[in-house]
Amino acid sequence: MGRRLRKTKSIAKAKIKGVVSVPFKSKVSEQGNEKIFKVAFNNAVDAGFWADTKTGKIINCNKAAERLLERKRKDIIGMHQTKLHPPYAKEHYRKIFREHVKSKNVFDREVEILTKSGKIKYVRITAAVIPIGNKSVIQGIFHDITEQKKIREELIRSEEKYKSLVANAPIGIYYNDFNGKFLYANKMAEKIVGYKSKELVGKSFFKAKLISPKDLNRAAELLALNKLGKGTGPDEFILNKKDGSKADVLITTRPVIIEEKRLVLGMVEDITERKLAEEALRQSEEKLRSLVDSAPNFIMIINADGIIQFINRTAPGLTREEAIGRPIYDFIQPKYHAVVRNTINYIFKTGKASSYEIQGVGPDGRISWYVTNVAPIKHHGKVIAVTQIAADITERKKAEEELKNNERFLQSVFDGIQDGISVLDIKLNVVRVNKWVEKMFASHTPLVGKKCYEAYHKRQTVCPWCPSVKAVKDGKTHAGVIPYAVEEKLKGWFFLSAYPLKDENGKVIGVIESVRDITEQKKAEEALRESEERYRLTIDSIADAIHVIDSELRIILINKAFLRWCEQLGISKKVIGKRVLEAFPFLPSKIEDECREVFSSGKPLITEEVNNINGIEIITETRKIPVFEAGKVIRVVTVIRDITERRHMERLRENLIRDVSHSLKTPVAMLEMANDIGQRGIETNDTQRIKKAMDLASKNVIRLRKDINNILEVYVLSKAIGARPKEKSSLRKVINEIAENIKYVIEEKGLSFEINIDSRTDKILIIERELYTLLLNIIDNAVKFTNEGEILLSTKLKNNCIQIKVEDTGCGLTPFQRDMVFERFYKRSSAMPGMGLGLNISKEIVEKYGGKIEIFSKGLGKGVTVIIELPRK
Amino acid sequence: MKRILIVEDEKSMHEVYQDIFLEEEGQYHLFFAFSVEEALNILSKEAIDLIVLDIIMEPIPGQYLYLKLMQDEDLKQRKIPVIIASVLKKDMFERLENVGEVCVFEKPLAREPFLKKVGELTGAGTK
Repeated sequence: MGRRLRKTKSIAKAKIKGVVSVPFKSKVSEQGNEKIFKVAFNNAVDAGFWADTKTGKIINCNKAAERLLERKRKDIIGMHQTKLHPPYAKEHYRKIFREHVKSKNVFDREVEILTKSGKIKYVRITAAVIPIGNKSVIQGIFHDITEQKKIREELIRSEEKYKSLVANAPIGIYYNDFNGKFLYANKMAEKIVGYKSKELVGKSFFKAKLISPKDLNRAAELLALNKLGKGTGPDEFILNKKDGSKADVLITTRPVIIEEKRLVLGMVEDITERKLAEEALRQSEEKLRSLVDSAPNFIMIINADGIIQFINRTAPGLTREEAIGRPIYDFIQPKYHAVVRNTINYIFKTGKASSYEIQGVGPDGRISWYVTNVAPIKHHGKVIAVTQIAADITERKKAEEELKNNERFLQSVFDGIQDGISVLDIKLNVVRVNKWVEKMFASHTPLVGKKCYEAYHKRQTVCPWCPSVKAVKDGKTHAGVIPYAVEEKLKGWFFLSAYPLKDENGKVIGVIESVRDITEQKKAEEALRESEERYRLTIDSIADAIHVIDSELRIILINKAFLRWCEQLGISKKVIGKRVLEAFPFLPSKIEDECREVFSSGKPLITEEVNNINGIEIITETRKIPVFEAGKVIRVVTVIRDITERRHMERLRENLIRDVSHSLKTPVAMLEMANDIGQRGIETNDTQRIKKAMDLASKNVIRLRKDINNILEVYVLSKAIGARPKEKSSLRKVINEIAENIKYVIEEKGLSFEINIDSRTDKILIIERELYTLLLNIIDNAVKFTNEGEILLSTKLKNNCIQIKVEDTGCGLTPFQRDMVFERFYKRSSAMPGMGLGLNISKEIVEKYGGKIEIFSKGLGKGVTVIIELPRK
Repeated sequence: MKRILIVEDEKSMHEVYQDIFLEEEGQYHLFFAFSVEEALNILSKEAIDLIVLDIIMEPIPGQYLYLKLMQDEDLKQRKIPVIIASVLKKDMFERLENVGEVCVFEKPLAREPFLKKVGELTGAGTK
């Protein structure tokens, strides 16, 4: 096109030649010529103007000029030439006009013309300065090229548009010749291969290394087809990019003629991304397929008619290919057809997933239970098929069945329990009850769903004593006797145990109440209690300590003796309601076992215990006696007798027998042996031996006499109390007699016996024999317990009493021994001669006369002082 | 000479024992203890062939010594024979119920059988 534009000059000349011939030096007559010229000028196709070169004003124009300017000739003539052009170019055209007039050259250029209506027209002006007469006129022929220009511009615009389209096309575009040499490549083509256009143009694609050697033959074949005028492709090629990477492309070619040359237009499309995406998709599909194939479940795709489109596994004897295309119902037992059909229909209708459970043949050929989840496959929001994923739930079904069996079993147990069982939730709503409860509260039904206090007691609030409330609160078992009241009217009594019901985390989620109607039992107990109250007086008057315990081993009754006993022993008297061991912690723990034994065997039990209570040894005899009610032991009455005294006396009695034996037999044995020695002395004529025998005999005779005396004294005292003295006795006389009798012993022990008698105290109103016994026992004790030192007897008058004091330097007494010395048969040691009667007898004698006897000792080894006071009269 | 330990709290009885062994002169050497403590003291110093033991004594009764002789590691090995001499019968001795055969002589001691037994137990023999 560009080259065509450059030829415009010659084209314009040719046209003017064809339209108006302007022979500047014509041979025709001027007149005739002028006429011809005028007609030609006037009717010329192109507009013609004459303008005065001096004034620049138009002096003549033709008809075509009228059309061009849309003005009448008369209006045109006289116009200044600059007015022919748009005002903005006025000065430009004035300048060109002047230059043209000056140079007198032929003028040929494109200019803009302004029409009367304001349109801009393009014209090619061929102008020349010519002399007309004496005038110098410029003649311009205006060839209207407006249309031409419009077409040309459109052509340019269109060419540029396509150029830009090609250059910016989102597809690679190139030309090559039939040798494969590149002539052009657009931006996309550059981008695909990474080379700039200038790097490719002029090179053959055979040499540009764009195509891998193995594809070169194929490329050559395609080029051959192009030569034959045929298009190719799209064909896939792998191109080597400039950066060394590969690009997957689709190449399409068309033979074209461009600027009269036969070329090949190539279109290249980069499909690397698509290829990668396809590969990813393929891999993902493979993964899913392997997942589906290896899944233990049956996975199927079913269309609206129930035809299997896909299945991942089949029952034995059937291949997947055989299954696909067949209705699903062929593989399902007829009894399940309806549920399957309904489910599939539902999903097609609603687009929502669903499931069903049926039995079917599994891959192993066994009939199993399956749960099938059915989900829609949608396309543009419309359900086009469903997926069915069936999982074997035989084991679960089995477990469920077992659970049901267990449930049935538990229900039977639950209903079979002959106590009331009700299960409550944490808010005390009745959740479940057994038959007993249903029967017991038949008139209150329905029970389930109500609060327990509403259901059972027809109350509006929680019963304050309720063990279940406690169980819910602390998660522990609580039990208690509770009143059974309906609308606050007492109907009976229940024993209620509340067991907290916990979840696997140990959180309390409810409570199980076990209820036993104990109304009858309670009545019996009440009756018993009343009866017990009635007998309380009797029981209280019994000297033995008595307590009664119930079957829980709790003390429910004690008598007065028991209370006294507690008081004496410093045990808390608050024992009612306590368990036996709680009340008496000092008892051995077997005591509870013994109580239980009496409850279970119904046989009385008699035991003897040595208890240490607050440091005091107490021997008790305990009799546990069962109390029956309707053949069952409901109470145990325990009678405790303090037998410490009795046992003590028994022991004393045993000791007495032994001691009396010893005391009487020893002097007798000694006498016998003295006699034997005497005999031998006489036989051997050994006077030493005879004397020794005599000594032994006399000592032991005294001892014997004293012991016998004492025994007799006890007897006499006990028989003859009240016998009064008829006359006064002489104290001195009695003491002297005693001194005479103990002379041997005193001498043998090397002691001194000092007597200091106040003469005013000599006469005393007392039976002489009793005075003798009284003093002998005291003095004999002093001698007996003194191994060295002296014994001092003194008397004096004190407050109209005769005081007799016997002091020794003997072995002394412990405080305990001092307290015990006046007890009958008390002996410090069984080895001691005598029978433990002496001081007891002395005391009785003193007391008989209204006197008193006291014994003092500062402790062991510190001697003893006995002080006797007797009234003078 | 056999060495006899007489444990007896009654002095008169010591005289009686002396008289009993008077005619056995040269055969026995007598040791006298008034109490169990004294007896143990003598036993720790002297080799003793026989013990004549009273039961009712103060403060420690004779049974204690008897049990000690049977239980104490050292004394047990000496295997000293014991004659219990008491006015009481055997069944009245507390705590000797379970010690097996005990040689008991009741007082008054019968001179001949007693000496015979002493001879047997010491191996001295009698005239």
